[in-house]
Amino acid sequence: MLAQQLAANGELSDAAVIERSLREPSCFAEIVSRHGIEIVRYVHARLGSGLAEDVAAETFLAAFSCRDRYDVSQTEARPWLYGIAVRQIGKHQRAESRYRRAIARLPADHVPDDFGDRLVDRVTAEQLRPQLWATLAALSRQDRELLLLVAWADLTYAESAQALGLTVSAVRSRLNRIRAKARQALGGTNPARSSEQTRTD
Amino acid sequence: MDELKMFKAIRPAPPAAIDELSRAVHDRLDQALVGLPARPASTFGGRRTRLALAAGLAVAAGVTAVLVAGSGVLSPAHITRAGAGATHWAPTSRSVQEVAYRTAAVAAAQPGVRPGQWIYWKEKQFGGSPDGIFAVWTTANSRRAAYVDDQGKVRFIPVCHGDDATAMPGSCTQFIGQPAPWVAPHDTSINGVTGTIPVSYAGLRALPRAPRALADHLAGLRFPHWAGWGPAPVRVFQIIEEMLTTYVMPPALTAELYRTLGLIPGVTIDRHAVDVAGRPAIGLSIAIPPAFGGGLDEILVDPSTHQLAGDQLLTTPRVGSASHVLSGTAILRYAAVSGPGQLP
Repeated sequence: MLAQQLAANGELSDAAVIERSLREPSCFAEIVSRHGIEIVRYVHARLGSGLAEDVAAETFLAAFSCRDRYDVSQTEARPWLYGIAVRQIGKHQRAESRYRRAIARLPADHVPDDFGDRLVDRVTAEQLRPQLWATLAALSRQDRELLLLVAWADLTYAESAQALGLTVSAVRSRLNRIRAKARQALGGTNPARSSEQTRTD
Repeated sequence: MDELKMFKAIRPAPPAAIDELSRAVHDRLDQALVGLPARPASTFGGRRTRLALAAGLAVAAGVTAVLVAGSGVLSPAHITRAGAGATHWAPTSRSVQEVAYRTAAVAAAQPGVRPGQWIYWKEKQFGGSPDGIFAVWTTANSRRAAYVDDQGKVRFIPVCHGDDATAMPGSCTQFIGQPAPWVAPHDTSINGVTGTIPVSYAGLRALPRAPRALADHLAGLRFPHWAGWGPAPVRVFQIIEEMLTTYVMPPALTAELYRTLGLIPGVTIDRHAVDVAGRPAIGLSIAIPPAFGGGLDEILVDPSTHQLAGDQLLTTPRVGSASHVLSGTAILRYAAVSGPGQLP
């Protein structure tokens, strides 16, 4: 049992920490330490700095108050925390849409390091920025949540499924549908494809 | 290029002070867990120790009591008055007041409803996904909602009561305006704007009955999440917009809310407005500052009946180009009915 509770690096798994926090609430601080910055970063990306602190704090408070319902077979708490964060963000949808509109007008001042190694990719995304924001705004709430968990929070399909209470196959089919919508909104073709590639295809 | 990578590329940059923000979150949890103001930095060292210590104290005090206190600190449902202070707003134009008062007179003449009275709504939505016409039934206090599925059966939409923060995402939602069910044989979806309206239906009783006092009250509400809302006139306008488009309220109060709109500085009249169903309308509009998303927020009333016709968000008009609708809802019909699934 203890072996199962240990994460790969030898530390107690999130599940074990949460389980222990039922007897010793102070243990929950470890969960906040492990995932706090990541959740804050995601909430900030969704709602901006004005609400990030409030909503991230609410996320952890909600997590603490419902930790007795945590499924301890899930060793990693990350998807669970993102699921709660998504719910908290959903309470501020108007603020979120305002923030999206405001930020969509700004030039990108940051491209994630893991974005890709081809300059053309970066330039293409920058050129299509207004269309990408418009596409994001036009998605249904459920689709937008899924897309952003995968694209902005780097959750795997399985983690996204756990966060949103879906099956992995539902995540896969929804993402395919979202991709198709995005492709259509961006002109029906792959906009980043170079002319050389097009000729050889 | 993968579409997902393109969306990844537009992810807003993390704040420079992410560590400070994260520390602030720890502080908030500290406060929530002990139910006391933040203590000076602990001599025990790092944040982890502080939180552990705070949580330890929580155990001593009784976790349940502490969480109640904590949720009082952080819950969005915890809305209080910000204290005394009149708004001292300059008078608005006569045309704004005229439309507001005319609409108020019509609202005051409507029949009263019980909070649990079922209301049938037929609306057209634009700017959501998908767009189109939908029908939904809600209670006047918006605490219950239902639709009719493709088999003709009434299905209830899970609506959160109060601040149910612990529910799993998607399991229930608080809606602003009406939920939009899109019924299909295998893929029915419920869309709509979600969030917390700063004045609950139960809280309507506590509202002042005079427009000026009502404006002062709404402007002075202390809501934990004003960050995205803009200055007081915009906030008051949007709270009223959310209440008018979500609840069916006592006629006298609805009338006072319309009169209050006539007092808000910055509100203008758009006599040539068109709702998202293409119908002519009169718009009571307010500009949202660019820092809060920009655009023009409009509450629409029917020009002949002066009844609520919907609301919409438009782009900020610029010299040489007309504004266009970003999103909106047109209320095609609403009426009290005997139960969900019943037509007027």
